[in-house]
Parts: sequence; C-alpha cells; structure tokens
Amino acid sequence: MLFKFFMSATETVQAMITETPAATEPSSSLAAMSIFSKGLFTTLLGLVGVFLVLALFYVSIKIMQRKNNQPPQEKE
Amino acid sequence: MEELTTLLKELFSGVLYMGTVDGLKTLVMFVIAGVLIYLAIRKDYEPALLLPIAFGAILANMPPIIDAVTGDPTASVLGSDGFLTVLFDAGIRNELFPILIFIAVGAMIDFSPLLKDPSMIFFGAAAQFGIFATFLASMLLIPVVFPGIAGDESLVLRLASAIGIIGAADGPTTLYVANHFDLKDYMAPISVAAYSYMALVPVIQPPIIRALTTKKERTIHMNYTEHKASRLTLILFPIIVTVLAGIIVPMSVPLVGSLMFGNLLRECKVLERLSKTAQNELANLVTILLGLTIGSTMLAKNFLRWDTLFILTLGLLAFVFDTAGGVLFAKFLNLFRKNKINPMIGAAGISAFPMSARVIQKMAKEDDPYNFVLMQATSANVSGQLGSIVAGGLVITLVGLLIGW
Repeated sequence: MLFKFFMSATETVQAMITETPAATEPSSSLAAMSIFSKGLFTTLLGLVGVFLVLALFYVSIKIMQRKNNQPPQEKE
Repeated sequence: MEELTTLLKELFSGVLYMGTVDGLKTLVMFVIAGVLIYLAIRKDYEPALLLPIAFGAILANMPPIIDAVTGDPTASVLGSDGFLTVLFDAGIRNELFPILIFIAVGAMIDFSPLLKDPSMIFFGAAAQFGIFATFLASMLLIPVVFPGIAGDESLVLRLASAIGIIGAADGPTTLYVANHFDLKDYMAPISVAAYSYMALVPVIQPPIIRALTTKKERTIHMNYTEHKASRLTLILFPIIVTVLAGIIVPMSVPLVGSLMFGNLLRECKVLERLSKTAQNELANLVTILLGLTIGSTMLAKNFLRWDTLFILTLGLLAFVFDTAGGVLFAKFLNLFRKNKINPMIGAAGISAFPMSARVIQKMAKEDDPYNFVLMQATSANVSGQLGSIVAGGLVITLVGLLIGW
C-alpha cells in the first residue's frame, strides 16, 4: 500500500520535472485563493517549514553526537 | 555664435543639469550618500558595505550623458557598457555575488558551538517569525499605501516577500530573493534597509529585549555543557545540511550549498589556503563589487519615492518582529523547562552574525557582570544564519507556487 503510494507520488514528481514550463503555473485552487489567504498560506507553511528543516538538522546533529560519544567496541 | 553656444552647452551640460529638478534630486542623493559615508567612517556601522554602497550611489547619480547604444540619458557608469551595468549583469542579475558572499561567510562561520549545544537551533527558526509577520503586514499595507499596484497581485506578493526577508538580517539572502522576484526597481531601498539595519543591530535590539524581559529573566545563568564536536562531525555537518535542505527545500540549495561549501573548506583542514582565500580575498573582493553595484541601483528616480520610506519602515518592523519572536519563544519554552533559558538568547536567533551574539553577551554583562551567555548566543546566532536561508528558500518556493513565478 505504502509502496504503491510512494511509486505514484514519484511518478507525479517525475512528470512535473520533465514537463514543459507550463507545469509551473499555479494550480487553479491555489490561484483562486484571495490574496490574504495566499499570505496566510505562505506564512503558516513557511514558519512550519523552517522549524521542520531546522528540527531535521537538530536530529542529525544529535545522531552524530551519539555516534561520537559511543565508546569504541572492544575486539574479541 | 550659435555653434559656440551649443558647444558650451555640451561642455557644461553637467553644470547646467544641476540647476534642473533632476539635478536637485541628484544633490539630495549626494546628501544621502554623504550620510552613509559618515555612518561608515565616523560611526563604524558596517563600513565595508556602507562605504562602497554610498560611493556607488554617487557614481550612479552623476549628470547623464546620451548613451551611444540606447540613446537614453544615463550616468556614464550606467550606460550599456558602463562598468556598473556590467557588474550588475554579471553579479546581481544572475545572483552570483550573493552566492560568492555565502561561500566566504561559510568559511568564516564556526558551527562548533551549535554542534556542542544543538538545542539552540530552534531559536534560529523562531527568530524568522519577523519575516513572515512582516510579509503579512506588507501584503495588507501595500494595496492601501500604493493603490496603483493593488491590482497586480503578483507584484504585491513578490514585493511583500522581499520586504519580509529584510527581517532575516541577512543581506545576501535579501538580495537573492529580491532579484529572484525581479524587483530591480525596489532593489535599492531593500538592500540599503537590509545592510544598514544589520549594522544597527546594537541600536535596534536592546530596547526591544528590555521591553519584553524583566531584569530577573535577563540575569538567568545558563550552564554550558561541553560536548566536544569531533572533526568528523564538523566535516559531516555541512554535507548533511546541504543534502537535507536540498531535498526538502530545493530552492534553498544555491544559498545553503554555497554557505556549506565554504564551511567545508574551513573544516576539512586540508584546504587551509582555499579557506583563507574564501575568508579574506574572496570576501573582500565580492564585498567591494557587491557594495558598488547595490549603490548603483540607488538612482534618484528609484530612490526618492514614498515606497522607499515604506520599505525602510517595514524593514525595521521585520527586525523588531524577529527579535520579539525569538525572545517570546524562549519565554514560552521556559514555561515548560526546569532549567530556564535566558530569553535574551532568543533574540540572537537572527542572522546578523556575530553582532547579535555580542550584543546579547554585552546586555547580559550589564545586568550581571558574572553572566556568560556568549556560547549559547553564538549557537543561536549561527542557527539564525541557517534559518534565514531556509526561510528565503521557502518564501521563494511558496510565493512562486502561488503566482506561478
């Protein structure tokens, strides 16, 4: 199920990057939003996005710290 | 006799020009450039940038001559073959100068305080609140203040994005976003606001921090737990950050990638010569060219307008919101934490590196001479550098998606 979803999403992205520039046109639902809704959309997704990306950086630093602090395993 | 008059008119066209309305505007621009030079030399406010910007403005506002190619009257440095036009096309129009500056900045940044105490990274996100708050405020105000462009939704959103990004306290990102959205007519006030407010961090931040915190909060001591960042971690960090940012926000790759490439040059320890070159020669050279080129956009006809004042005011507001966002986020976290955070650290989450961290340490010492928060403030400050780039990439992506840019 998950694999099927992943494959269909991948195909969509593949189609997006191989299509002509018309693919960059905003979808009708996004274009139909009022300017204030567009502003809110950008603000909310932008803030969440910044936190999400920096949270990923945090996790990656923590993983590196953990690996670094692990005592070396003794050879048998 | 008539020929002589024509000859004299052509010979002294510059002097005669100064008597016209445009000539008077030129004088006003000279005064503005003079103020910037004064701030740079006497007040030492970001002299490396303000001085070239001011001189570029003087050059660009010189009396015009008729351009041989277009036939339009322009200052000789801005004609089709003028050296500032060449520099603009070579370095700003294609976004090269901000990218090169980021390589230099990356080579200067030491991420080890952040790698030792990564929890500070969230302040780099919280302090981007100002970008989005100002974006919203600009979007609402632009149609009211400038009804002429109210109907152009694309321009309103693009302009609001560039004004909001001033709050990133990150000149190259601001230029990158403004240029990406083709805002050449607004480039001068946007870049002047971004760079001059960066220089004014010691003036702008303290009153906002004091207004939002009590003395008791400002004297909170924070323990600094020393986790040594290994060489491998320091090398892997720029690579991992580039890959993660590139996968999640592809538009941020030019900025993140160049910053992290510069940092990798520094941390790999086998390219000392290249690292030093990026930190010194590259940084200095691009700063000169960038400053002069930005200055060349400060034409009287583009700068002496109401929208300049509007952009400068909202840019200042973005800085205020950013600082407040960081401080309030720290106070919010303190509601749940046993070990309290000094809320001033939140304000260091803006990207003005290392000035903001120094301002916070200075304020901490003023209230308690034994309070040492520089390491935490530096961690938040370098996180702000990352946060502002990611925010810039997200704004470009999201607004681009909405307007089909």
